Amino acid sequence: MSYESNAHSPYERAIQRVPEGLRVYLAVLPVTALVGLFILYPIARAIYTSFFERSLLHPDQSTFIGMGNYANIWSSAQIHQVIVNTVLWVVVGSGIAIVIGFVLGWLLYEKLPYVSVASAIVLIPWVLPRVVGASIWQFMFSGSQGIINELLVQLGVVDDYVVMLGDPSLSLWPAIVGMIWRLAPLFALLTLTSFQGIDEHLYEAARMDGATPWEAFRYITLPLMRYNLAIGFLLMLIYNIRNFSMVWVMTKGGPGYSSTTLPVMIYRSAFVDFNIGFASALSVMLFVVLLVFSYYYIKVYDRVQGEF
Amino acid sequence: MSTETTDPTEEFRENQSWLFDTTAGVYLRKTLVGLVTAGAGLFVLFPLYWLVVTAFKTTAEIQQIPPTIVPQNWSLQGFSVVIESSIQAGGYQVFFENTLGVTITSAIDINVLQLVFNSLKVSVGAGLIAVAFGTVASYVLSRRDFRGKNVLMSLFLASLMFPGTAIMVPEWELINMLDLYNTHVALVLIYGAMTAPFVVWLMKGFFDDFPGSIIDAARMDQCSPYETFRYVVVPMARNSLIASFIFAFLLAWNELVFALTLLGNAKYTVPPGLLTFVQGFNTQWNVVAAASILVSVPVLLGLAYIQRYFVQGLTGGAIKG
Amino acid sequence: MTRLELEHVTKRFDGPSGDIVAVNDLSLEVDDGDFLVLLGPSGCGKTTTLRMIGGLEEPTEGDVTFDGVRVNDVKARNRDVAMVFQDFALYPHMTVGENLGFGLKREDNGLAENEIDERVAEVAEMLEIGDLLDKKPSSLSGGQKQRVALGRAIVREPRLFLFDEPLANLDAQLRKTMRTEIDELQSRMGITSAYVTHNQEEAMTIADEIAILNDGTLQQHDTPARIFNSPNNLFVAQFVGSPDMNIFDGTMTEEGERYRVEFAGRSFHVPRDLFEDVAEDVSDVTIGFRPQDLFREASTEGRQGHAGPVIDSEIRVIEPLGTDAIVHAEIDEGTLTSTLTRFHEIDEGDAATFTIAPEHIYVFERDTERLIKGRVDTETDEVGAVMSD
Ligand SMILES: Nc1ncnc2c1ncn2[C@@H]1O[C@H](COP(=O)(O)OP(=O)(O)OP(=O)(O)O)[C@@H](O)[C@H]1O
Ligand SMILES: [Mg+2]
Repeated sequence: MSYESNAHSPYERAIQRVPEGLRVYLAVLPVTALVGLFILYPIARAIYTSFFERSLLHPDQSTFIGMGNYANIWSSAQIHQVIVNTVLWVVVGSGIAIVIGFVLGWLLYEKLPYVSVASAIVLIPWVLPRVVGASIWQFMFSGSQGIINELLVQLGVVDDYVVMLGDPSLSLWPAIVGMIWRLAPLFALLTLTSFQGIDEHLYEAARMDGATPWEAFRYITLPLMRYNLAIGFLLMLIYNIRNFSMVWVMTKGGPGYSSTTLPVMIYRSAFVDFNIGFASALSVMLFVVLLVFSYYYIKVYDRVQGEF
Repeated sequence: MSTETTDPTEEFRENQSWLFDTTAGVYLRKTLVGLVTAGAGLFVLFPLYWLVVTAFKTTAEIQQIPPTIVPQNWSLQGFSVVIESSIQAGGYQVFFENTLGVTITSAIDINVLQLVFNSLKVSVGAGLIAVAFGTVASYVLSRRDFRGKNVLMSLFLASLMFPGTAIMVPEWELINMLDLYNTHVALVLIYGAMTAPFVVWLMKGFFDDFPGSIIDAARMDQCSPYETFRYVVVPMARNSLIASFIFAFLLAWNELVFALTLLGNAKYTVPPGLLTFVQGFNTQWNVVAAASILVSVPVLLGLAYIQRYFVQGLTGGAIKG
Repeated sequence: MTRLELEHVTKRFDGPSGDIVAVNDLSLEVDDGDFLVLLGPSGCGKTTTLRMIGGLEEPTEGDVTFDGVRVNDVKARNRDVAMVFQDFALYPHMTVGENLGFGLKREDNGLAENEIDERVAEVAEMLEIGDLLDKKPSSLSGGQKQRVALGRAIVREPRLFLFDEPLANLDAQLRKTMRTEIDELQSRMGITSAYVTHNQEEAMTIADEIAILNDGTLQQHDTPARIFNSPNNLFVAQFVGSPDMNIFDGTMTEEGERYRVEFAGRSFHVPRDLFEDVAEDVSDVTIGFRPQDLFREASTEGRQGHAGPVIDSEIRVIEPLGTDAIVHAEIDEGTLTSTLTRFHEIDEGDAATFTIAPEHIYVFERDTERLIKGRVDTETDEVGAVMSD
């Protein structure tokens, strides 16, 4: 009896020629290469470009200007507006999305029938093409044809139709509402999943221990969900700060810079003002923030999962 | 406990909560819950409702002030404009005139069908790349220990956070450098790179829960690692694989930033195309709504399938559904 | 058709706190066609041993040989070995028929599709699962799944069968039927088999030979009868047999041609030739005897002319098992456990006097726990009867 190998396919025979220890790397190579080239390299590239003055129209001509682009950010009047907008956008948008999302998730879990159908419906705002979602809200917020204006007039909040998207003091808010509408469902689903992950018996045990429903929620549900909620919270921040389409579709960041957030600013600098160097410096700002969020995300992730 | 009580049930009434154990409290609670449900439901659903009814209104009704909540007469005008303009932009009007005797003249020419076709091309391509590369990697990441594994996993997790707006400028530079500007290949590769980490995490979750004894059984049944993967693991992973594909597909279908910055008008996929459409038609919202609904159909079909895997995929497996 | 040999096999795993020695210097031989049972408590390395035989793990040290050929670095798929898993490990996406035929299809055996189908049908017939061939595993009962798992192993006619607690997921009744069935199948096919279990009763009924492991170390490799009557040490003695053996500390002194053994204030004599090599200075010993070997003095089974110790006690608990009962009785030095057939005559709280034949008493050295006197069967081959519950 001999024990020769029984590699059947040519593919396998090829694999067997690769040393054992290298095979795992062979398997992760394609993804790593793809991600490395199209995601990690651009990050490095942006850092590099941010030290140059370079125009989109002549990308091959660039001058090294050191921290020049960063200095320009610091001295730019619009950037202050952009930063305020971005902070408002992220804080208010994420905050409200989380509250609404949590309540929605709880309703799905506790109160609504047909969970899987209901949660599929709730998810529609999130999976709809971003442009579609944004244009619905643009329409609803439009002047005389806008249903929201009609509602406000009927309720007596305003006397006459307001063109919110064209009013520099208001133009950011419709986009924030649209973004909440898009993100709250996501948080709702995370909440629902977290609720479903808690063993029913724990609630029964708590009831036997004399806990009221509120106490059960406070002392069992919340502590057990805390990592999941942290994950959801960080995702909200990340998705919010990254968002471009909601603002771009609804207002293009205008009037002026009144509704421009950081990503929109990056786009405008690069593809409207053609200033790639400056746009890259702005991108680096965004990286820093995203890096902080990702760091915490991975930290919480490790908590939940133990080691990978 | 009070000693004067005579009511023998008194001792069961400790630890009472007004909100849960009194009639008034219960009513208040129920009312609140009802109101919140209605409010939240309205917030989520009304825009969707509005999209649908808008699509079925006539252009005249759209321009009415105040807007009507329910269409006065349901009309397919919006949809027909979308289709006619597609036919015209696609250069098929002669064909229609000759064969069906219908003359098509549309004021705008945006070829929605072409957009859909481009998007399908890009999304399917990206989905296939992501699933093929991601699955192989996730299998190894789940079942083997090797040097650099944790770094790699963290990189994949972090790369879920960055794409889109943060790297649009350098991506534009890169694509120009590779001479891929205004090609669909560029988008296929970028979307593949963006979604492969999703697939890695989703499939890793699946493989982590995969019963090891089945793999042992396959080894005993004389399977090589490749055959085990091909005949045992992949068939069992079918649902997760389909979900991964749909995930990647949806992301590619919906992505705006790269499509807008890396393609010229002629090659547009659905999101930038639709954006042009919105801006060209924003007096005829019924047409916009009709187009929106048409391009959302694949998304809604996909949603039905991946719902179960949604959370796990989005959180990189941090939360399992 | 394979002689299996393990030579000084050791397996270490990297644990979170240093190395775990799962199997420690294990040497075993199993002759062609024999049925070996690996028996031992949870975590003692049984599964690891089996997986090394099957090629699912590689030994850290030592060799595994089939018919004298070292197979350490032969992959599982090339060893021509079949394994039945505790959780059955049926492929959920294949029908029963596909599950059975899968191994044959992977093999380079030159069998045509229809020949494979024939073999599958034949085996299915033999295991009475012929009408399940088109079903998916998820729709089968536990017993049916077990048969499919068996069938999957049998159909390949491998050189070795490996079973890892194949009956652990079945209910008690099914366990008994299936173990008889496995036993019969194995004898019929004459394929060398290794079978892992932590259930001593299962091991005793099914095995040609038993290897008892503890903490990765082989304690004894012997026939079931010898394991029962001449356990190498206290661990083996306590691990087999049910209910648990009675254990007392005792002392032993030489008195000419016999030894005087004392425990719990009683003493009795045992002829010297019943002992195996007793070291010079042994005086501290551990005495053990099986509950089945205890008799009530007053009963008619009573004294059979031997000079065994007589123990007075008070009955504490009677656990009826149908025809007999497990009786726990109290003596000053501890508790006695015995199985009695005529338990209706006694009541909890009654005084009872027990006795035991000296041949049936086990004696171990106290400090090494090594056996120095085993149980001598007065009636031959009563082990089977004693073992049945
Ligand atoms: N892959 C592994 N990595 C690390 N330690 C392991 C591994 N497999 C087994 N061990 C350890 O080796 C020892 C023996 O394990 P094994 O599974 O062989 O025991 P067993 O006798 O089959 O037990 P059981 O009856 O519980 O199945 C245990 O301490 C176990 O924790
Ligand atoms: Mg085991």
